[in-house]
Order: sequence, then structure tokens, then C-alpha cells
Amino acid sequence: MEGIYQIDSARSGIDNMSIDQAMLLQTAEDGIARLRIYSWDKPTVSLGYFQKFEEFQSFNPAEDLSVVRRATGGGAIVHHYDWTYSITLPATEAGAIAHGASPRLYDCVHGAVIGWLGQHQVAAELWSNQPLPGIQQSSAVCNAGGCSFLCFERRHAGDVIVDGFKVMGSAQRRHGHALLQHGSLLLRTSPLATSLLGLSELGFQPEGLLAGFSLQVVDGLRADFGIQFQCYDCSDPIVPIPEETQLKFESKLWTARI
Amino acid sequence: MNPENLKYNESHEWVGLTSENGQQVAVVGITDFAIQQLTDLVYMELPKIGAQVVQGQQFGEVESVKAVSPLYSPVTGKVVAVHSELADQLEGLASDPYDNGWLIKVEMAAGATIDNLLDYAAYQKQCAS
Repeated sequence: MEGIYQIDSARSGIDNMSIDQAMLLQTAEDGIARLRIYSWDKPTVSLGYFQKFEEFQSFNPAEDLSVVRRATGGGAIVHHYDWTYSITLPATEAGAIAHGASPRLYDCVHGAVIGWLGQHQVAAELWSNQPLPGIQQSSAVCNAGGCSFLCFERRHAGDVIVDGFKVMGSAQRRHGHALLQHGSLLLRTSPLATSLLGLSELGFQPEGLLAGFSLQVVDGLRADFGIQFQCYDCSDPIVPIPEETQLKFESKLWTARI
Repeated sequence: MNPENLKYNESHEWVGLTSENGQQVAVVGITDFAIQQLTDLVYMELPKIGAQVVQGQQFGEVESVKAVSPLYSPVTGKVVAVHSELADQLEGLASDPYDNGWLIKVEMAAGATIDNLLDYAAYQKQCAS
């Protein structure tokens, strides 16, 4: 399978979400895999697709934080000191199951990240639903209204864990014959979410190692899915953004949709 | 509803025809197979009563363990009932997907058909492949 990847510059939340959605639409059309690794130009909260906007308002009563809504599910992420990635694949190639997720794609990316952390003597593991006091283990509890607002306070099978702390989580969105997976690696604690420990607080300084991290993910996807990636070495977005896509993510109707 | 009497989308939605108050309506849900594959369902978004749905087009969305997926209508027509209470009891959907697990009821548009969908045997074959 053909693929393109880009280590992108820091962009606004609206641009980041618009590009990821454009990648999904484009992959649904042309069947080409796309991987983008990026950051954010200012601290931004990304809400999960089904999260209530009022939860964000409770989290940030001053409403002085930038906020966007993702197309993918899961909890909110404070993008302050993190690396974010998005990947789009044809759903059949991703091994997507009926209606939705591709556990294989989660395992591939998270496995690659665990391998990369291991190269730097960081012992990371996949969360496997062992019960721990005070930790929410499944998004199913969201139904009962007891779900943490922040993604990194939740636990799902397959999350990347270091010393009991979640440092990486991912979420997916199906569209037609394509699948989008978003994920975030927490580099250090943000003053906006002090309950979360990043890799720095856990004894590893990842800054300056983005290229190696990216290559590890590329290699993992190549090995597991046979994707022959070409590097997109350009400052423009990896795909053109349709105007309606940009307008959607700019719209308050989208951000505060529920 | 008896699964053997239903019709199916390749995307795992089922539809059955029934009569309510002397009027034929199409009852729509998602299959046992899909629910098992989805595992933990978290949220579901369904259309409002009165919305128009089109066969093969998206009518709702479901979030399982961190994957948001579209639901595709197996029938064309107007939504006349929505199983809104289901949103608070998604865990129970797996136990009764073909009766209490219905999602929407649709008044079929003139000329609309479900004859082009998979029958039970063809759907079972798809799931096994």
C-alpha cells in the first residue's frame, strides 16, 4: 500500500482538525495511507466527538482556553506539551471490524511507541484492564455520568502506560471506506492539567527526539500493514483542505454541538 | 423480531417490516454480530422524529471503545419513532438487539424497497467470510 507521511509544523487547533478530516476524506477516495505527526501553536483543548461542551466550560470557566472538537471519540486532551499523530488508512487494509475500530491499528502504533520508549530505557506497557483503585477502566462508565473529562485520566485496554501513568492514548473515526486514528503522547505536565504526569516527570526527556519517534511509527506501520511511505517534506498541509471542512471546524455549532 | 425474517445492510444494520396502527413501518437496528464486534458501546446519536433517511446514507452514529462509526439506513423514508431511551442503556443492547434494541422506525417512502438488501443467509455468509 502506498503512503505519505509528514512531520508537520505547529498549527492551530482548527487547522489541525481540518487537515486530519481532509486526510480521512482523501484516503476514502484514493486509498492512500497518510500519517501526520504534529503539535499545536498554543495550548488547546480537543474535545471528544460525544463530549458535552458544558464539561469544557466547567473545566475552563474563564473560557480563555482555545478549544476544538475532534471527529474521534474519547475524552478531552489538553494539547500543551504533547506530540499528536493522525493516520488514515483504507478500513479494509486497517483490518477494521464491523462498524468501527481497528484494534490492529491501535496495537501497531502503540506497540511502536513502546518499542521507541524501550530504546530509551523507558519501561512502558499496554494497559490491560487490571483493576486499580480510583482509575476508570472503561469508557462504558461514561454512560453512568461518572466519566473523567480528560482522556489521560481514563484507562482503556491498549493505552500506553509508564509507571502506572497513561502517557499515550488514541481514538478512531470511521468514514465510508476509511479510518482515522488520532493519538497523543504526553511529554510533560501542563499547568492546565496538573493531575497528569508526562514522560519528563517520569524521568525521560523526549524533546529533540521527534524524528526518531516518527520513524519508529513509520517503521511499525510499514511492518504491520506493508505501507510504503514517502516523506512529504513541505510546510503546506499534507492534503488540500476543502473549504467546507475548514468552516465546519471553525464553527461554534460544531465545537458546541452537544 | 426473528433475525431469519429480516433484511441486512452489508454495514450490519437490519430492517424488518411490521404493522403498527394499520400502517406498515420499517424497524431498523444493528445486528448481534456488529454489537459483539463493537464491544463497549458508549454513545449513540439517532435522528429526530420527522427526519428523512435514505437507503445507504448515514442516519446516526455510534461510539464504541474509542471509535466513532456511522450508522447507515437500510431503507428510505421518514422517521416516525426513535428509541431515545436506548442511549441510557447501551450496555443492554447486546442482550436483545432484534427486539428491545431497535433504533428507529421508518415510514417507507413511496416506491422504497428493501428487496435489494441481503437476506439472512447472505448476511450470515458475509459475517463468516
